[in-house]
Amino acid sequence: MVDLFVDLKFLKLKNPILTASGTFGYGIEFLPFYDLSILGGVIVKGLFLNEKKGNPPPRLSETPSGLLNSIGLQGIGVKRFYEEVFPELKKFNTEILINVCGDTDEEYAEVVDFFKKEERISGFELNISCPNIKKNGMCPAMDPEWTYRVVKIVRKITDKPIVTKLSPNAGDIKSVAISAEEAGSDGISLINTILGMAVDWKEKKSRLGSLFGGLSGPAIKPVALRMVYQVVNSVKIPVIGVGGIFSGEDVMEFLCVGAKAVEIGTANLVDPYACKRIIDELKEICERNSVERIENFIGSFKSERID
Amino acid sequence: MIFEFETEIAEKKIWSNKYCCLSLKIPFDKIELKPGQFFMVKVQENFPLLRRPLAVMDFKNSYLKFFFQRVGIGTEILFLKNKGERIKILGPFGNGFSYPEEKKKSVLLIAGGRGISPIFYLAKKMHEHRIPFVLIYGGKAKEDIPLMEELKENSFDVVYVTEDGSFGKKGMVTDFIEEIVKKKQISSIYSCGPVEMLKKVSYFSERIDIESLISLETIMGCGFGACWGCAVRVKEDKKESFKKACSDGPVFRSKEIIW
Repeated sequence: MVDLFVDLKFLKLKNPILTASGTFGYGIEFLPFYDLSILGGVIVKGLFLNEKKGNPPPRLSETPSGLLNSIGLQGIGVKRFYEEVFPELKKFNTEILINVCGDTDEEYAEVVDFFKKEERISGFELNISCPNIKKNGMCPAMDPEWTYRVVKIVRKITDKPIVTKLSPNAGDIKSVAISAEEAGSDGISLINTILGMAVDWKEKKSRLGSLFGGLSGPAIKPVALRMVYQVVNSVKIPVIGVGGIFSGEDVMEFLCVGAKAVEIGTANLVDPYACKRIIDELKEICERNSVERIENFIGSFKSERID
Repeated sequence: MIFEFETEIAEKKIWSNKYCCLSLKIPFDKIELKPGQFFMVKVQENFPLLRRPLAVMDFKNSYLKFFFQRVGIGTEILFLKNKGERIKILGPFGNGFSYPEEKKKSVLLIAGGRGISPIFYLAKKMHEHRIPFVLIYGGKAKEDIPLMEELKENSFDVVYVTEDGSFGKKGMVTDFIEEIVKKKQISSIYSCGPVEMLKKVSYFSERIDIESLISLETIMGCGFGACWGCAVRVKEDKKESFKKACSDGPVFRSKEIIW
């Protein structure tokens, strides 16, 4: 019997499988497929204080082994989520984290403030890749100092777990990670999508309704793995790995380099049963390889040099 | 009820190297399925990544039929598959066409090109419920209205239209809807086809204030409402927003759509 339990200190998960925000709706969209209680946790689609319209279509452009999206963080806002979705979602025996968005630094705190007293919210994942309206579309994740400020604003108002989700588009992701840790983040998750573009050369314009989009899927896994490895070796707080995970084997790779848990994203779009399948595959792999407790396997990568 | 199956292609029919109909056997002889609903089809393992949304053209005796056109990499791969090869389908998804089953007034079904797929199933269902209808089916040329044989088998009342006049009436489908609506005292319209056609149907329906439902084709991500990738611009009471084609649609009231 394999034990998939992982202890992130601020969060204890029955297994390392979380769902990546933006790919799992508000969780309830997956009820036709399996019982959400099998998951380590659900991280819901990013919430702003109010409803967010999102970007004009087309919002998707498929790439070889990947997907470029410009959804634009469309969302129902905190109030509607709490009233219309949360009562159903909280019925399930799984950790629920709010992915927090903000058009301004203050809005992150306002969103957290709305949920901080809710017992069934296990924590917050700060989506610092949101374009800031006052700063010309730039986002906190690009800048260690800005990241520090946002995490600090949120840290001040809640004792609940804070996970900061990093962007691979930052110049120096290690510095951003260290900043988030210094500001009081309990954990780090990475990577968010990689900024990319799809061009319709006949029409001479973007294939998306926006100029750029975020790349996700199997194509980005090597980049995600590299960055997770780097961040694991830069901070002391637990790291959650995200990026192109489609199988139990992929999960093992992230755990090997030191991620204590992972988020499954694009795989959910391709196969709504993905998380269930991956949990089963993980159990099978551990059994076959005599890994009795998955926690003992985390960080087993034989370090050569730290870059 | 949503299900996923890996199933074998029982029959394949193609027309003019463009259009294809695949019949797949599923282990049910009855499923909850509405015309206008679709399945997300995994055309091949590993590539392309996303499933493709294909409307159900027919469901009879445990056989699901999908009719589609080669328009991109996914449909290209599917087009080249042969009888006996296996593909995975997930669904059914979408809201489908709604209509009152006791409806006794005539309705108009409009299909343009590959839009015939869900309209074909709608026609069959309406026929079952004895709802009188006229089906107007058009395309660029004769090769773009390939389901003539299948429609004939069902003895439907069809008006064929081709832009180049190679078969049936010459012109666009929308050139003939006004006269049919007046002559047959049509009470509502159901359409699927190119955006330009749907736009015209939409403006016409608003002008004469007739109920009009359209099924939209969009790029989709998950197909079941989780990713928000299939957004469609809509207006409700003057307020603009985005709805999801996969779960709020693909059938919409045409006056809702912001073109």
